[in-house]
Order: sequence, then C-alpha cells, then structure tokens
Amino acid sequence: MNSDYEKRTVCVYPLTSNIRKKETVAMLLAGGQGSRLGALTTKMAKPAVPFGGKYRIIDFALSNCTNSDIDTIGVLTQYQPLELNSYIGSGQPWDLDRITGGVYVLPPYMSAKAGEWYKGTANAIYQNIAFVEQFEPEYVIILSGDHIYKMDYSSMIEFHKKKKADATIAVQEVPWEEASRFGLMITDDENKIVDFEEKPSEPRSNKASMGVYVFSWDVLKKYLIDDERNPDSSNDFGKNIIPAMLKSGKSMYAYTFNDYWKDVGTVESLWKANMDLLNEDSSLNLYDADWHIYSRNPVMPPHYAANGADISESMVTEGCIVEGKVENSILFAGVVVSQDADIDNSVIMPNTIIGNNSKVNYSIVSENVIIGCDVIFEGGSPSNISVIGPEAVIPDGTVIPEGSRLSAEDAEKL
Amino acid sequence: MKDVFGLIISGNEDQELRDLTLIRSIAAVPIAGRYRVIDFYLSNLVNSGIHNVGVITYRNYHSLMDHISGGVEWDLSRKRDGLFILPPMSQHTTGNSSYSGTAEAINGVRNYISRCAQHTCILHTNCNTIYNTSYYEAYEQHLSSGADVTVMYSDSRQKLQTSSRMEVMIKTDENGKVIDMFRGYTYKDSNQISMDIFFINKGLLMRLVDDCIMKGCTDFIRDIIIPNLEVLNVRAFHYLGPAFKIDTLEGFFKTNMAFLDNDTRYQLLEGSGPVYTKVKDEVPARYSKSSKVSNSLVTDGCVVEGSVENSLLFRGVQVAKGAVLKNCVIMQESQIQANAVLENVILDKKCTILRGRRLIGTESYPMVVTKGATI
Repeated sequence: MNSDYEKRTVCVYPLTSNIRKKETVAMLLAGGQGSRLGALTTKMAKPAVPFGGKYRIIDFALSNCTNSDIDTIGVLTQYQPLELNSYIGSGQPWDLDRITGGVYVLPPYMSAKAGEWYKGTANAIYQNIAFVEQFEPEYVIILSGDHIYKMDYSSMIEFHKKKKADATIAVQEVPWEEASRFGLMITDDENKIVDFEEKPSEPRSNKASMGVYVFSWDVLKKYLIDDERNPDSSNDFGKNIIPAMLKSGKSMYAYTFNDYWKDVGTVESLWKANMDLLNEDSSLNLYDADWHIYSRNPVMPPHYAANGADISESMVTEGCIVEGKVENSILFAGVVVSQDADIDNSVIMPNTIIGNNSKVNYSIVSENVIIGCDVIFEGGSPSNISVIGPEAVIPDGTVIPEGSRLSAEDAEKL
Repeated sequence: MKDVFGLIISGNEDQELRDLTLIRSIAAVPIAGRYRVIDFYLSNLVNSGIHNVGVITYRNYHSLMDHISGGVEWDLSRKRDGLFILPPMSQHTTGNSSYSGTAEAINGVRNYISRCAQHTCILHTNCNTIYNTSYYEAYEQHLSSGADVTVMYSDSRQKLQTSSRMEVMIKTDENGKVIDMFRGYTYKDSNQISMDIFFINKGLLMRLVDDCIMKGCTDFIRDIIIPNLEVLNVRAFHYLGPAFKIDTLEGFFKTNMAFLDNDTRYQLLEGSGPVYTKVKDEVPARYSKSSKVSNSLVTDGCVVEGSVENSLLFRGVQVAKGAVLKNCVIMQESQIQANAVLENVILDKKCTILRGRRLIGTESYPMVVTKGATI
C-alpha cells in the first residue's frame, strides 16, 4: 500500500473551532411567581402577564436581546410554566429560531443523583452550567423577565470589555427618597463598585441594581460552584454571588442606565406602567422603528369602532369591538366593550367581554373574563387598583366594592 | 385533504383597478385593514389541511414576494412541501417575461405540477375574490360525484354583489352538471357566478393543457373547459358564504365597506378559519383626546386624533387633529394632516395629504390616489 495514503488515513483533522461558539449567552430568569400580582399570576408566571395592549412582560427582555444582537438565550422557568412555554415556542416572533443558538426554555430537571427545584437565582444558572458551556461564551448576561425597559445590552457588554471587568451591574439612579427599597451599589469616580447594600434604611447611594448583570463566564462559573458548596447560602445573585465577588476584590463596575425602566412587581406598578404608554411624553417609546418590541401577534381583524363608540386617550388592539365609551385605558386583543359600557383608567386584557351599561374604573381586568350587564367595578385611585383574575364570570348587576382583588373562584361566590 | 395541492394564478390583464394594480399584481392588493387579497386564498387552503401550495407570479411581483416570502405566517414554511413561488417564465422558452393566458401560466410551471406528490389540484385561475371557506365539502363532492372537474360558484341572489361588469357564469342541468359557461351580467343572465376555482386531477390537467398549447390557445376556461363541456364530466359546487369580487375599483371599494358589517366581517375573517397575514409587530392603535371614530375599522399602528366615519384605516395610518374622513379606505402608513377633509377616497400606501386639503370622490367612482403621492 502506498505509504502516503496510509499516512493520510491516520491523520486526524480536528475541528479547530466550535461552530456553536457564541461570545455572549443570555440567561433570562423567568421562574418568579410574582405573588404580589395576586389573581393575575395564579395561572401563569409573572413574565407571561400581558402588558401594553399586545405584549407580555417577557417580550421586552427578549426583544432587547434580538435588538442587541444576542441570539442565544436560556429562559429559566419554574412557576406555572405552561403559558410561558407555549408563548415562547420556537422563538420565531422574536427572530430567535436560529440554526445555532436561539431561545431555549430551561425548566428544572432530574439528574442521576437527584432532582431539585431552582433554589435561587444563582442555583438556576448553576444547574444549567452545561447548557452555557456548549456555547463556550466569553460573557454571560443575566436578565430578569419581569421588567419593562428598552436597553441595548451590547453597549453594556462593550463597557464590560473596556473596563476589563469580571462583573458589570446595570444600575439606575433612583430618587433618593425611594432608594431604600432597592439593592444599592456604592461606586468610586470610575464607576468601580466598592460596596453593596441591600435595602438599607439610610442609603449611601442612589444607584439601584436593575437585576441585569454581565459576567465573564469563567469567573462566574467558579463562584457558582463555590456558592453551591456552601450549605448556608441562599444561592442568590444579590445576596450571595455579588457580595462574595466584592469581598474577594474582583473587578466590578456599575453601568448606569437612566432611560425608562420599571419593575412591575405590584398591581399598582403594573397599572402605572401601562398608563405610562398613554402619556405622550413618556420616555418609553414603542413606536421606535430601530428598537421594535416583538410579540406573538394575535390573528385577528382590525378593531371595530361602532356607531356610538367614544374612544379617547386610549390604546386599542386588533380584534376589539368597541360600542361604548373608552377613556384613558388600554384594550388588549379581542376585547368587547358593549353599548353604554364605560371604561376609564383601566387595563382590559385579551378576549374579555364587558356587558351593556357596565362601568369599570381604575381596574385591571384579566384575560377571558366575562363581565355581565350593569356591573359596577371600580378601584378608588391610582394607589387602589381593583383586579379580576383570568376566566372570571361576573353576573349581571353585581356591584363590586372598591379595591377588590377577585380570582375566578371568588367571582363564583358573588 | 392529504392528496390535494393548491395552485394559484396570481394575476392577469383582466382587472379594472386603475392605479392600485400599477405596481402590484391583484393578489398583493391590500384589503380590509391588514390583509392582502392572497391571504384569503392561502388561508382557505391551509385551513383545509392543504400544505402544498404553488403561487404563479405575474409581471410585477416584488410586492407579492415581499408579502408571502417564505410562507411562515400561513404555516407553509415546511420541510416537506410548503409554499412554492413559481415565476412562469423560468421553465418556458417563449422569451416573454410573463404569460398571456391562464393555460400558458399552468404550462409554464409543469415541472412543479409533475413533482407534486398529491394528485388532485385545486386550481385558482384568478385571484380577485374575497371569500372564506374550507374545501372539505367541495372535495368530498368532487370525489363522490365522479366528476372530472368541479367548479365552485356563488349565488349572487343571496349575497351582495360588488361588481357591475360582465362575469364568468355557469349554467347547470338538474343534476348539477355544468352545461354552459359564458360571460354575462349578474341578475340578467344568470345567478351562478364562477369563482374561478376548479378541482381537477393533475394528470388530466396536464393532458388538457398540452392539447391546448399545441393548438396555440392560451386560456384555461375559454380554451379548455368550455370546448370540452360535452366530453368532460364538469360539475358545480355551490359555495354558500359571502363572496366579493374586487376586479373593479367599485367592487374593491364596496368590498372594503362590507367589512364594516359585524356579520360579514365575522364570516369573511373567521367563518371557516382565521385569515393569516404577514405580521408587522405594530403597536396597538392610539387615540387622543380629540379623536372621534364611528363605524370604522382601525388597525394596529394607527394614531387617530381627528374624526373618522365609515372608513378603514390600514396599519400605521396617522389622522391628525381636525382632519375629517368619511367613507374612505386609507392604506398603510398614509398620513392625513390637520384639517384635511376626505370623502369617498382610496389612498394607496404611504400617501401624504397636506394640511387643509379637500379630496371628494363619489361612492360609485371613488377617488384613487397613487402610492406615495403627496397632495
């Protein structure tokens, strides 16, 4: 046999580059229950809660990724994941159905030794180290799926590279009087983080952590493994990982972001963030052609405003039929507002029907609710918003006291 | 419907839509706020469980390609079968850039047809009707009647007719066999109007087309169906839902207005299944303090500050404060500035009507403004 040939057959051509390699992988924490949203989150996780007429809260983080050129995202789910799983699907609406990368839903799983829930935010990433490793990333960006904001993560990653940081934490300068509600970063003139305080009574800084972190992956991996070995740890980024890194003198920087950012953790803040969309001076501009917020669009006709409809200062989505009055409100896809009904200062979620002559004010009405005729449902004010949970049926003529929070089960007893 | 594929001829010379078809084939004409005509054809096929659809393009088809591209929105982006865009000249040697008749169009895509795994073709020789159906019943009748060809027709006595010109009519005997097809006026000559939708075995279709082309003929109905009515078993299927022809401007205008009726809109957009269209990720429509709107359809992306009555606003239309619209069809991204008055007007895409302008058309002859114009 020809010796040259023989040589060739034993020669190994190693794949020198991993075609799946990504510079940055995003990990989106979407497992939170959002218990303060009460009836709104009994059947779905907080990131799946509808927002702004045709979106869900998670659309903002996913669209930010797409617009920032980050195409590999792990979405960590835990609480009531059905709605979220089917919503994300293949990721096509966000242009995240990719050959390499794309969006992955990562629920907790069983392994040979044990199976466990995600014990904390850091543990959720720890359990998915293998997922991240397959992309051999330089950086990992940790996001949370329950904030409303438009942010270019790529400039934050640039900042992280330029500072040669181990970790970069996005911060927002909040009003001093509110600062004690947040985790605060104390920085030097170069934005280097020198100290960290969780909800202090006397704040030394107004730079609140937004829950958006960029880590150099090899550094983070080490800390995740160490943290997991510590039985006293609550496996949380804010409580454990960040303080541990600070203590050992890692290079950590604060990246200031002062555009619109809202944590919609409570009923009132969710209502307020929706109302911000109606304010023409709001800094949250959804009409920005360079920064589209994508969502899974409903397949519905244009909305129909009948004779006698009176719509002002409102947002109305496809599929709605409006016969009554709508003022300063947001109607999601497929909402029906019947004759002489009066909707003010309210958020009405998809496919809800409001009967003749009913009145809704300062309220959030969830999906697939049926409100009969002559119902009065009012919250008192922006700080006292009423809520009806999904699938509830409210009988004709019901008068519901101010500030009620009704689930479908509560509604059955009416 | 596993054994069925769809074939759509997306345009021909036989339209009177003035400026609306200058830059696009009729299949790509925007309609009812957020749709294009072809959405109805594609959705009807998909809602009938048909996953192999060929669309024969016609002359200026950039607009159509842009709209349907890979077919994702209709769930036609498939590994097996899916959506095929078929430029007719690619397999044809006449050197023309398009076809002069429907038979010629079919002849131009014979490779596609012979490669289809399915045996029955639902052939749409035109793309000018707005209707909503699933084809299950018609297909069943086609099989059980033993017909060579089944043609779908709608009955003009029951439904609003939008067109005032000659139509292709059919005449049937008492057994539902088609004995004549001809051009005539609605009401006067017949009430059975052909929807130009045919069920036919693909082998038979190719044989008939071969024969037709050999004789130098070009048209499927005129040169293939009509001369063979005695030889072939051609049967009719009665489509019962509303059907609107949009081959004239008047028809186009009235069809849009028909969508303002709750029942008609429901039947056309949800009747046998939803009508899918390209997703644009527009923000929900926004109303201001001064907006007034009644009996109108408004699509996502619109900003309404003026007054709108009996009108359709397509995606991303802006109506400024003080502007008044009555009986108008305003296509995507057009802008109506303050205090402009429009009545019986069709604005094509991206038009701008400057402050205080007045444009008045009439119901039977609406004013049409060409795409991108500033007035």
